Amino acid sequence: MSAKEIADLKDDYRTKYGFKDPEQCVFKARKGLDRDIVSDISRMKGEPEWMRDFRLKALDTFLAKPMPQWGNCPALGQIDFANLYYYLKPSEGSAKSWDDVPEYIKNTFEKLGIPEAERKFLAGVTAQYESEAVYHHVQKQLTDQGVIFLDMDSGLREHPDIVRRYFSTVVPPQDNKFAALNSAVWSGGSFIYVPKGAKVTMPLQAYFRINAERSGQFERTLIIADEDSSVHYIEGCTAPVYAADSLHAAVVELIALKGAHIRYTTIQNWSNNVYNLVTKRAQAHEGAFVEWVDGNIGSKITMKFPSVYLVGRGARADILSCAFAGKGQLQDTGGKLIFAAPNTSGTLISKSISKGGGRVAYRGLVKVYPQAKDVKVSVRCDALLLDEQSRSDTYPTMEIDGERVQVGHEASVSKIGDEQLFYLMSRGLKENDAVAMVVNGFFEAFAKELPLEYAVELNRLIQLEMEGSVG
Amino acid sequence: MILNAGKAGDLSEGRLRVLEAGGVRVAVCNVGGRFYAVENRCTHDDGSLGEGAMENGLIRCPRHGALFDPATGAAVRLPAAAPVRVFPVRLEGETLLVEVDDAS
Amino acid sequence: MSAERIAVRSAAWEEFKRAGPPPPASETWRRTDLAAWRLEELEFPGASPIPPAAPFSAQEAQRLASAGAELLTLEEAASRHPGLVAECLAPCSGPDYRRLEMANLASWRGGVFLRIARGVRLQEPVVLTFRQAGPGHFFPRCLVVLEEGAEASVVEEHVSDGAKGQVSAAFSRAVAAQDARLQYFYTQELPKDAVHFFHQRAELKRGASLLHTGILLGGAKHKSALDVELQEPGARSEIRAVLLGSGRQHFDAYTAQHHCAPRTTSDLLYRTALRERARSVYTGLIRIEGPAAESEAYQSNHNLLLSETARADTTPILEILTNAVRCKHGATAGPLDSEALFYLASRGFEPKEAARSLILGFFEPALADLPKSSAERLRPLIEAAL
Repeated sequence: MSAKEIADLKDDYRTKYGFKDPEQCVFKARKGLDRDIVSDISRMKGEPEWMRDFRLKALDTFLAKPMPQWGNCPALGQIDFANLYYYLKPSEGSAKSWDDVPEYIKNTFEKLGIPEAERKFLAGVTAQYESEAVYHHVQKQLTDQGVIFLDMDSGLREHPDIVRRYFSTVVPPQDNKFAALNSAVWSGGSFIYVPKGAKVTMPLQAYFRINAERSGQFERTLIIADEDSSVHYIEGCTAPVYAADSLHAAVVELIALKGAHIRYTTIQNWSNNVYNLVTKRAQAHEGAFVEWVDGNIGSKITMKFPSVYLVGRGARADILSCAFAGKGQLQDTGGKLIFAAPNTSGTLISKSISKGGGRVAYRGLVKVYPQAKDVKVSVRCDALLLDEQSRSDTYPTMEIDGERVQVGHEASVSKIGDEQLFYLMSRGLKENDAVAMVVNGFFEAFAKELPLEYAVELNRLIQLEMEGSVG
Repeated sequence: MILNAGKAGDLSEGRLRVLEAGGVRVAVCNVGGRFYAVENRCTHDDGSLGEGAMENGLIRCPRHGALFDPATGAAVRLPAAAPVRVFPVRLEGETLLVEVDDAS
Repeated sequence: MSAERIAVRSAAWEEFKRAGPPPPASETWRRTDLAAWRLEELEFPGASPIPPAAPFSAQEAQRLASAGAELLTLEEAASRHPGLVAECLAPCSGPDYRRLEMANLASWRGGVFLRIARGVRLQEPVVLTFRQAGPGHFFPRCLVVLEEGAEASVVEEHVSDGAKGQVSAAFSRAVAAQDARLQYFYTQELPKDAVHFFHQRAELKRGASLLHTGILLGGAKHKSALDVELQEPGARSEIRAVLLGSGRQHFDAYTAQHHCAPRTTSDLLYRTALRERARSVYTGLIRIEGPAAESEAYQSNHNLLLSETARADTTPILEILTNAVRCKHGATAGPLDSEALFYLASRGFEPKEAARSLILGFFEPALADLPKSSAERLRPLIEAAL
């Protein structure tokens, strides 16, 4: 790329992602967290009593649980819980057509490159701005299939029985401190129910943003794929650059019933002041197949370990994770595969790159219970360190207790080989471009699983990271 | 091996108690006047079930919120995915007795 | 024993009493209960203890003396090499093993000091037999020093007279100076009800090399930690282990390949075969510090699960602080290859024979390239255990 092309990319990015809208909120809860604030949130949303009680019990759990101390958790000690805004409601309600969406929010999404025309290619878009879903459009096809795709608040309102049946059955509030926090103050996120046999052919998408200084994002997503159904859900995240820190503590629960297939893709590009702590877990029943495709480019600290619990015979799981850590960033990612039924199998591939003092850590668990016989697992994690200041840590654990279980794990850490660079440069590429090409090749296994627009965007984001022009 | 789990009257509805003898740890609970005993070790991450709480007749592990059915040992909610061992409990007069086999 | 010695031991005993049990969240002791070592039964031994049987014979010591090496008890060596011995007796195993190390420092007797002088190359292996006799607690301690350019092969074997309820906590140290070459064999053949802890720290200087082979066969509970530090450029280490578990045996092993200097290499091959309800826990750390550029480190852990109740936990860890390195690790766990079994059956092998052959074949890479004399010692041990 020429110097001009790179400069253009930078400007484009700054405009594209670095803008801030002046806050226009209808309701902003006061700072800090207590029972009154939690009750207010529930009341503002018009929730049933059981959800309010659930939130309040979760708040007790959050306050009682100590901050976790394993791994890089001590770095989270800087989060100032008392000084965050936990709820911001930006408009009077959810609009049904693009025209009804408030102008400033529409502009946000125009700038993010999500023009109305995308509707032709994508099945549905839910846009989350601040804490509430503000724009929602579901194509007739989905409605005809009986597929429910709503923001989580609407899901609770319109389908309380389904929600009550599955909500927090995969991630209980006691699971960890940030799941408890999310359970107390969750707002927004997606609710998807796919009925038996329905195959959703185009991906369902959602966009999230944090705008106000010192606000938190606590979306809660619940996806239930009923027997023999299939669905692909994509989320992309972004936030403008701010001086004060922001917290994103989300919970995603996936339930793939018998024979169902769920693929969940994320490209996370939070700005470098966001603490991104997410609990993502899936439960795969008999013959089901769950895929996590998880890309982490942004944020100050990300801790995210997508997991699949294979609880039914013949279930399968694939976890594909990629992470890029530049200066000042920590990407602590990985995944967990838990085999609790016979004839199950899973793969986990993790690719990470660190540069300019960035740190990546891979944390993984493969656990095979005694009742899981005839299990095959393979894990591969590769880390590329682009310079001397960067760091990579790998902490995979395997606990193998089943019968006729084959588990394989391989990991490698290295730099770009001199021979590789030499070869590319001898073909006329400048060193920067050669490195970029190797980096792209390194992430290829991941990029090829993304829809085209995302793959292109991923490439651009990585180019920018490589130039050191971000953060 | 028979473990003495104390007086039935001292273990009220919805409560849990932990016993340890001969290297075996057991959690005993009272659900609607019926008594059950499970191995005091959550199959998810070795949490002490007896130090948790009862939720709708199920044992909830204090560490990560897993739920077990005390009657069958079945894992009812994640993050537990494997059953916990159960032991037969009987009442002799006022005293609860738990029968533990040695295969632990 | 001198007053000074007693004072040092008393201080260790005080430290021991002060050190509490490991915290419940301790990763090191998560899967193995320290209570099995029954440390609460210990009493401070007092001024005139009875030393255990010497791990080597007087003839052996003489033979080595004429070959240019010094083989003494650690107690005897304390007066001849106070500096070296004092260093050996300084605690080095870290907070997780504090209680065990202090118990050892307060209670060890006899011990072994082996020094190979500069340039001396010993032809025959030096065999150190730590034999536990009668019930109770045992605290072996061993220091092996190879001076510049020295070469030696050392066997540290832990055996027993078969008495019930033996508990041991052994601490060993090995230092290889510039260009020294050390082959170290650690074998644990204790009774199936014994409880054993082994910690070894190996320091490798410029251009030094270490080939370390562990054969782990006995004990009801075995916990070991091998800490290899490649301190200066050009140092190389190769660690192998063969572990065979059956019944309800529980093995918990930790290894560390710690690269502190550039152009160092390390390799590790850890193979376990587990039958019945045996369990192996393995944690392997490769840590490459910032200054250790152009280093290479490899690690592989393979577990054969021969029954449905066997269990293997494996956690290979990488902590890499510089990019100019090559680092790989791999782990597998699984049953015997059913196709291979079928093939052998079709060639007339009985099922037991077929399994035995495959298991021996599985262990082969960990025993490859061993000097003939060592292989001749080790293979029968493994075959007998099978």
